[in-house]
Amino acid sequence: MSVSLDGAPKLRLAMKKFPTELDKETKKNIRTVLASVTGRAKGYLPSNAQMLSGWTNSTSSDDTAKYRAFPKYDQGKAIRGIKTSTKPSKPSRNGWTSLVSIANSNAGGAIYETAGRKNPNGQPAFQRTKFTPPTYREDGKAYNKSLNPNAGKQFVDSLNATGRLVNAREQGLVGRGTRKLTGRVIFRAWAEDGGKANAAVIKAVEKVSNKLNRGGA
Amino acid sequence: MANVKINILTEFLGKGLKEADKSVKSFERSVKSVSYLFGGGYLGAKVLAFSKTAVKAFAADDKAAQVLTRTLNNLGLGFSNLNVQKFISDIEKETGVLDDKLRPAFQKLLTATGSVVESQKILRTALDLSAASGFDLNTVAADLSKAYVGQTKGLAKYTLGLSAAELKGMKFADIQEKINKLFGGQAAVVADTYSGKIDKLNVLFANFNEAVGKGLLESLDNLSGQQGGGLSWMERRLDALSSSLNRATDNFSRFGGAIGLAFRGEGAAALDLLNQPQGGKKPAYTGAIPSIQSELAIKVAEDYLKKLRDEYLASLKITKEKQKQLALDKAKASLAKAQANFDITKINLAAALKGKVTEEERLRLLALQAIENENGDLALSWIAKLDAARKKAAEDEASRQENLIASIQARMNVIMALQDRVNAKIAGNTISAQAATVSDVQSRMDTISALQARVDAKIAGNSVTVNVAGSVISQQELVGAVRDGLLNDSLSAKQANVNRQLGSFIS
Repeated sequence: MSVSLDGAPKLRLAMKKFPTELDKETKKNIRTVLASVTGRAKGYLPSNAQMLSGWTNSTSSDDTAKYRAFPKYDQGKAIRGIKTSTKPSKPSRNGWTSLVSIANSNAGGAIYETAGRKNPNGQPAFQRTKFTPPTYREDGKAYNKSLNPNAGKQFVDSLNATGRLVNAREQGLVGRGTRKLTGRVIFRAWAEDGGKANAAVIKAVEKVSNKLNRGGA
Repeated sequence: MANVKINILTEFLGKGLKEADKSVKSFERSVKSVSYLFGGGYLGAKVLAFSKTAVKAFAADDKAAQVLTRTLNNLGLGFSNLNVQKFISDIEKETGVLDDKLRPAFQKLLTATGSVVESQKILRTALDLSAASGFDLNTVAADLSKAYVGQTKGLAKYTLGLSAAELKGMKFADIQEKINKLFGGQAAVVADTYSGKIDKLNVLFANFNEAVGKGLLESLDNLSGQQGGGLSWMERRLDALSSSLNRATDNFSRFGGAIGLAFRGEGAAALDLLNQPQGGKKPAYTGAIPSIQSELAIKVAEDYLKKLRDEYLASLKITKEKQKQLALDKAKASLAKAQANFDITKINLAAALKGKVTEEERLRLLALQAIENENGDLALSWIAKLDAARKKAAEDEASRQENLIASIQARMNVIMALQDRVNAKIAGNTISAQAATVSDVQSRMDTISALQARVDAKIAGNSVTVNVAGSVISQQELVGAVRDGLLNDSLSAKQANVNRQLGSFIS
């Protein structure tokens, strides 16, 4: 989905040498282009009434607990958490840095975005069989610790009822791909956008690059 | 949750990643080399812990030095700053009293007297008084500085043998003279004791600590490019890996090397290593250190000091034990010598050696003697010589026998040659000079044969009449009579032949 660009940071550095309006203009153009995607994504967030009441109930969250409780969902906060970023990110361990990105930064919104994409039935309950490696423990992260063995499935099913998981990976690419491009909000919006926003972003960068190369703002 | 995002424009910073990776590996190598110097048990965290101690120590020392310098400047004695610093350093090495205590004491005296020379003299007095009385140097210096201005109340506790009124009435110079008379040289005496040596060791380590801290901060300053801002720069860059870390490798290597030298007891070399100029520059660190925000542990420094102390104590213990062992060995040797005087076997061996013995026997006796003295190595050496002597004797014997055989063979050859000559003679293959002898023998043999024939003929026709006068009783008398008769015949030119057979006579 992301487009690799050579020389983009250098372009940004070069833009810094020019009047600041050029850099601002680029950012503005990019945000404008991506606004359609983020707007669509914000529309996919359900209201509080559509969610499980326990998840939105304020008495069971970090307002009352001294530890970081399970994040609650709030539509307003989730909408405000969908942002466009034009700041280069920290390089990953593989050496990649992102220059333009759309993020779902609210905790509740991120849970709604990604719940069920690994296992549609939720986390399984721990069962030790003769095939279970001895290092696996009952209190491990990957296991359901609820008294309700179907808690995970019920939660995911309730979310699926309000929005479906969509794989935003482009068709025709080589390789197995990753499930991390699957989601209910931003990934769904990006997939439904059909690549138009992507092309527009690239065009915006090329536009400013041409301006620089012509030698003026 | 930062993972929930769509990356639209990305770039691969492979170059930066490689540089970062190289920096990390270089840094890891440096840390590993330092941890190796620490004995393998200390990793980068402990290096940092030691760094904190070093930096703090240098900070405190630098602050004290700056305060003293300011005092000197305020008194118009700034030109004596170097002299004072050197004086304090010398005193530190002499007495084992750290400059942390010397500087404040000196400062008190300086403010009271206003003279560097006077303060130096009084400081020496204060050191002697402190060593003798056991009171802290700062307390003593404070009392002396008060006494200098007329307040002698504090001197009562040192039991100088002077009453309060006498103290009040005396001049400070007289008081000082009295103290020097009573306690002069005490500081030097204490410095030579075991405790004083430990203190000197502490001084060495403290100076090393301060030098490490200074070196570390100078390294950071060089990295940051700003003097005095090294630490804050370090905090900003802690999250990023930059190529500057490659430059830091050299500094950390020297730093690690200096720590290693200190562990081996080469404190002076460690200090020299740290004081080496970096890249030709020798920046002077003069300002006060900015506040240190990052926390470093201090355990390593204390452990290091404890280790030095333990090693020193252990070395003393070993020396004592060695001395005990030497004394025991000496006593044992004396006892053995005394025992030897009454050992019959040894006496016999000694006596035997004094007698006339062959070389082989002498060696054997010496070997036995060494065995009796429980000197295995010496015994083995004598035995080896004995074996060599035996071997030589066997070789000589073999040689002698060979010579004998050769000699016999030579004689046999001579005899064989003679035999051949005799055989040759008998066979007639002789020299012409011998021929006459053979013919002479032959003629004689013919003569004998002719005579024999004549005798035979005579015997055949002759008879002998024996007239015996008287009677013949025995055969013996008869034989005697016949003999006499024959003898008379032969004398009268008559040939006679008597054959005796079976007791009868045939004539």
